[in-house]
This record gives sequence, C-alpha cells and structure tokens, in this order.
Amino acid sequence: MNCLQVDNLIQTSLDRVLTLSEKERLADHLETCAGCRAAWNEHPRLARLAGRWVAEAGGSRENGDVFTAQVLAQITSRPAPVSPSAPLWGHPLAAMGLLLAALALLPLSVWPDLPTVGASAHALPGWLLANGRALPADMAAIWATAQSGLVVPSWLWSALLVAGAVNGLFYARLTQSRRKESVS
Amino acid sequence: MPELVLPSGILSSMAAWRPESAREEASARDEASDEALAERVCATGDVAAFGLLVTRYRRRVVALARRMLTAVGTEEAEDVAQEAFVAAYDKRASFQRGQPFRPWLYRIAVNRCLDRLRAQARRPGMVEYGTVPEPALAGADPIDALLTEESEARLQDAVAALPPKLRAVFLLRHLDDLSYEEIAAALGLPIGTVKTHLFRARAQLRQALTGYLEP
Repeated sequence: MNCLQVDNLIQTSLDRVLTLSEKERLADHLETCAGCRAAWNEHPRLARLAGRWVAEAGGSRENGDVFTAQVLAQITSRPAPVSPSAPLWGHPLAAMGLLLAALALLPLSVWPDLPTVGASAHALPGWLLANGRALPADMAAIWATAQSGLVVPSWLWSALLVAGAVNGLFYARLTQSRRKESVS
Repeated sequence: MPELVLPSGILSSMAAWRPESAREEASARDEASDEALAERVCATGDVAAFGLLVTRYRRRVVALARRMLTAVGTEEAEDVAQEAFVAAYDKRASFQRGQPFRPWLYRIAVNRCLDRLRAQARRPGMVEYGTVPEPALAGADPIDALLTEESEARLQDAVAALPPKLRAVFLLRHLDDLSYEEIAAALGLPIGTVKTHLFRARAQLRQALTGYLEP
C-alpha cells in the first residue's frame, strides 16, 4: 500500500470500523512509515477539534424559545404561499396553445385576398403565378366562408403571439427558479 | 509499532446537542420522530409540530450557517438559520413520506448559505470581518485554552479557504454525524463524490493545521 492509500484508509477508519484485513495492512504500513504514523495521530485530533469547533457555533442553549417564536411569527404573519400547481402564466401547454392559435390565424389576416379557382390572373399573388397553382374548389369554398364569416384583424394574431411568447418566458423563469432550489 | 487503537465515537456529536432547557426537554421527550412531525407539517401545515422541529434543530442549523459563512457573527448566522427554517416550512410539500428528515432540512439550509455566499461574493465590501472569539473553557489551563483558541482560529481560516462544496461536506459530516449517504442526499451528490470531497477537505485542513495537531 502507498501512503495515499493509507491516508484514505486512516480517514475511512474515522467513518466506519475497518475490516480485519484493512487493519492488518494498515498496521504493517504504519510500522515502517513515520509520515503515516503522524497522519494516524493527527486525523483523529482534527476530527475532535472540528467536532468541538462546529458544536460551539450552535450558540447559547438559552435563546431557543425566542428563536423558535421568531421563526413561527414569520411563518404565521405572511400570506399563504402560492399553490405549487402550474400557474396560468407560465403553463407550458397554454404557451404552446397560444402560439399555435396565432400561427393558425396568421394566414387569415395576412392574406385576405387569397383567390379561389377561376379568379382572374392579376388577382393571384406572384408565387402562385410562378408555380401555376391555385386553390382546389372545396378549399376555395372553405376559404370564401372563412373570409366572409370570420374577421381576423392582424392585431388579434399579434396579441396571441405576444401572449404565447410571454407565457413561454414565464414558464422558462419558473423552471429556472425551481431548478435553482436543488443543489447542483 | 504503534498500538492500533482505533477511534470510536469520535464523530458522535449528538451529545453536543443534548437539550438542557425544560422546553427543549419536553420536545425531546415527545415521542414523535422528526419524520413523523415533518409528515404532519407537510399534510396539515401544523405550526406547533414545526415549532418542535425548529427547537430540535435550531443549534445545528445555526452552527451550520455560522461555519459555512465563516466571516459572519452569530446574529447573521441566526438570521440565515431563521430564513432556512421559514423556507423549509414553505417547501414542506417537497418532503416525501418515508424520506429522512435531516438531509432534507440540511439541503435547504446549505442552499440558503450558498445563496448568501454568492451574494457576499457579488458585494465584497459588505462582508463582515472579525467574528467574536470563543471564550476559553472555565477552569481550563490558560496555555491549553490559548492553544485551543489558536487551533480553532487556524481551523476557521482553513475551512474558509475550502471551496463551498468541500466545506459543506466537511461540516455536515462533523455537525450531525451524517453518513455518506445522508450527505449525498442533502447535497445532491453521488456517494463517491461525497467521499472524495470529504477526504480532500480533511487532507487540506490537516496540512493547514500543521503543528497544531501534534501531541
């Protein structure tokens, strides 16, 4: 055994009882190594010193009632903590739903003049002309209904987009603060 | 060959926390275990039960705060300890049935201390220096008392020089005789890492206290 292994074994002896084999190996090494014999004496002294030093920091036994009363006063004088369930702002599903709704409504407000089959060529947007495509008849009917019955101003999809983004930011912050509570 | 007399009970620091006041004795005699009280607090928010836990663990959490934060006095350590207990009450829903209470409480206390250390690091001018030295034991030989004071001052400086994680592992081991598993649960570290941190901390401290640990 080298001295590093012996030092580990000495420290282990502070935390648990060594096996017979470990004791024998340790004793054999200590017979011949003055440095490790010093470690064998010093580690327990350090442990005793540390134990006393830590215990002394606990303060007086006399002020316990005052301390406890102060803690309980802080607890009972505050409003109830927020429920751990997911809040409205910061809910991941709400954020995703708002963003998807905004994306779905975006075409209805951005392209209100999307033509149906049979419309004159000049009404078609450039990309449709370039591809030579147009809406099929059933989709054209749906589109016409949507245009006539559903007024989707641009501010609505913008509001949904912003709401979704803000909700997502709240969720990110909540996740970050919850993660901070666990010691890394 | 030196006689292989292995230390026994050196790290058993439970005697240091034996209650003396009548109120503490009453709570100590209370048959409910820490875990039973914690479960009651978790289930019903029972403030009286939580008060018993505060009474039992006050000195340990104050000691942990004072030794983790090093350059603070008892008053600030008690403030941090109170914050830790209030936070523990707020987070009572995170205490799971069947889980040991000590690691859970110390996890919250260590987190509060680490937050305070980070805040101190951001505002170096706000660090308080000059803790009140511990008084010598009554009736002790003055030379021995001086040596103890010096040793403890040296130990304090050496612990302050440890990285926060090593410091936390070392203090939890010597504060309440926590096992490697309990320290690992408290700090969210693997058991092997706890052992490595503890051995490194002890090696550094032993080196820093050269000359003070000799017979």
